[in-house]
Amino acid sequence: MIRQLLGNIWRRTKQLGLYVLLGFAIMVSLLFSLALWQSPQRSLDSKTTNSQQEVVSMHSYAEVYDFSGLVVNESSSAMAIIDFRPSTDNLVSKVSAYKVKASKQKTLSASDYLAALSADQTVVMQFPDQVAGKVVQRILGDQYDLPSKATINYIQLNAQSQTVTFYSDANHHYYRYPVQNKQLQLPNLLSKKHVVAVKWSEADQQVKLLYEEAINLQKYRYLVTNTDLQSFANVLFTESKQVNTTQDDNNNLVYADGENKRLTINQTSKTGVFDVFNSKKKLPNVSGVMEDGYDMLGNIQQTSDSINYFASENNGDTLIYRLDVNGLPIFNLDKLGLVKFQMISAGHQQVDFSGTTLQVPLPVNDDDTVTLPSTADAETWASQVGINPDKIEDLRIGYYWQTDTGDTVTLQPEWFYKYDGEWQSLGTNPATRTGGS
Amino acid sequence: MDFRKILFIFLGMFITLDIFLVYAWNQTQQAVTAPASALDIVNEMQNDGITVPLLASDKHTGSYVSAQADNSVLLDDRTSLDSSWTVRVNNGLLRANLDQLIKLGNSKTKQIASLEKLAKRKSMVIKGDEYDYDSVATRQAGKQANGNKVIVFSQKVFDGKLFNSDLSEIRFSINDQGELVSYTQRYLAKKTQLRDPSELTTEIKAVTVVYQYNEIANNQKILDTNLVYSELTQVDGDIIYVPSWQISVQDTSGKVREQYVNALNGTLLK
Repeated sequence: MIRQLLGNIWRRTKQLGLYVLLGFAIMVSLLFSLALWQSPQRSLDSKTTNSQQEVVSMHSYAEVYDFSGLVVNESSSAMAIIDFRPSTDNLVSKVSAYKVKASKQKTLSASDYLAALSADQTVVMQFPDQVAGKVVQRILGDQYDLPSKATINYIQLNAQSQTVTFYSDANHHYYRYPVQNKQLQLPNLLSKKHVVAVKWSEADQQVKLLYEEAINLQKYRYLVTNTDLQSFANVLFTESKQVNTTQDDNNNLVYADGENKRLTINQTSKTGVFDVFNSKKKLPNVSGVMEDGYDMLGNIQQTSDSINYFASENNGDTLIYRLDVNGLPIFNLDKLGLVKFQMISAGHQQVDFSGTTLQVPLPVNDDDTVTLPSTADAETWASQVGINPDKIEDLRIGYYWQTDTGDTVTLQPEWFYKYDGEWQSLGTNPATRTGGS
Repeated sequence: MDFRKILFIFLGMFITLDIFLVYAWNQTQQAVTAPASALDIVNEMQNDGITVPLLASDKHTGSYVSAQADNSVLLDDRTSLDSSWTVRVNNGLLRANLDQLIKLGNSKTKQIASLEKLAKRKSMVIKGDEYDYDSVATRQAGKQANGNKVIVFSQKVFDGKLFNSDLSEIRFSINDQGELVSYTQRYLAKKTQLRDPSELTTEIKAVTVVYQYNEIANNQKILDTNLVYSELTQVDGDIIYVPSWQISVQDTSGKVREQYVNALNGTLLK
């Protein structure tokens, strides 16, 4: 009986099987046709390259994490070179080519650290703030095998001892690499250059470079380039299958793909906030954060050749990038031209940026300059205008963004101070300042 | 043919179709590999039948430059030219008609060489040493309505590269006998380098940008590339020029057109 039953089932299957198979094949073809129709456009050939167009070319690590100063130490003085970028670019290409021996490391006392940094007959390149060891390695080459957790503030070249030394303010530590075959030769950096006397100093565990005399700086004019922030959405969500657009309670435009990306645009201030979520459980180390910051600059198309690393905050979890000119940062009250990259948590990156940038310089008169006072005079002026000098977290020279017309901007040299975590223009004592407004 | 056979045929067709669809869908789900290098893209171009000359990845530097077209240099210096000529300057354009034609040579090469010598003579061309032969502008100029050939010299920027602008050209008019008949000249004054030179996009990268923007079709030919300075914008009487790669592309009908890539940021200039 069972045999008969099985036989009946088999006969039935033979009769219907063909129809079932055909039906199944038709369903599969419909399903995959639909899936193909909805999937993002991709090449169907087997090439492994992706010639997806890069709208803007990305600048190198050296161009983003660039130096903010160049000092020549002599026996009785130190001189800072004002228009230092061509010189530091030249030195970077030389240092990258050196063959070096294994490094020696040492931790010094505060006073010994300062003495080493200001050693006679050396040249020091200064980063705007700590830069991770791996990033320095990307700039100068693998022969400088700095630990990825190391943070570097200065690079010193010593032609007498034929060494390249990396200094870390964090723990007064240095990494010293002997150069092989006497390759290290320093050019004469002081001839025909605009220089200012400076002094190395330490206060509150921080090494500072103090300007000992007034500094004469050129004013600049630029053409403002405004990119519509909504166009960023096309670039930032290219790999997302679906993007929804809504408006939040603050009238911000919000793009979200429902998976891991969100872009919030403030149409009034012309700034954007881009959030990226991933499944990482562990915060990257300082090198990882800086590499992620660099990648994010490329993602949000902030590749103007003027955008540079400015500062690291929150123990390295926040990176600030600013537009700069000749190595000096530009400050804008509305935070235009500023990019802030944050590791909110291990799986959440956030970047604040604006669509306004300065790319095209305009002609200026050579005599359109401003003379700023020395560091000591700037500090004196700060107390005179009621700023408690003990609460000044940092003091730097930069450029103040002054909008002339809708399209042009004047950059005026100024002293800036950091107070309660915010940078503000100090302005200067009219008695010690010439030029500018 | 019985019905079962027809069903088998359909089944075979749909199974084949399903295999293709699954393969195609699988391709779209594969993660895109690392972005192509410039060399990978050049290989792709060659696979598309595009003729690509040997391209360099040498590093050049350059910067924004400003200049002014509205100037009186040609007007002020016109008296230095040969007094027997008829010289007019109007709206920055100098027209010089020679009273006696100057034999330059029968071949284009000889004519260019003769013009290079002639341009250095102050009685022949105002500030002629600031100009150099421009093959692309010459090709673009073609022939005049009267049948005369035109050879174009363009003004040099600081680094020896040429301006890509008709506001900086000398156009020599040459008859069929290889004689210089007349010329027109424009001059850019107050050339100023606006920033320190920075590293430029390489030649090979610039060509890949043009390809990626779909401005080079299959089976076309890249004739040559030059680094020139192209106009970016004008502000308050100053013209801002940017270093740019000039890429000459010949289509299948022989027509040649130029594409320009901003060498500072690697974008296509429209």
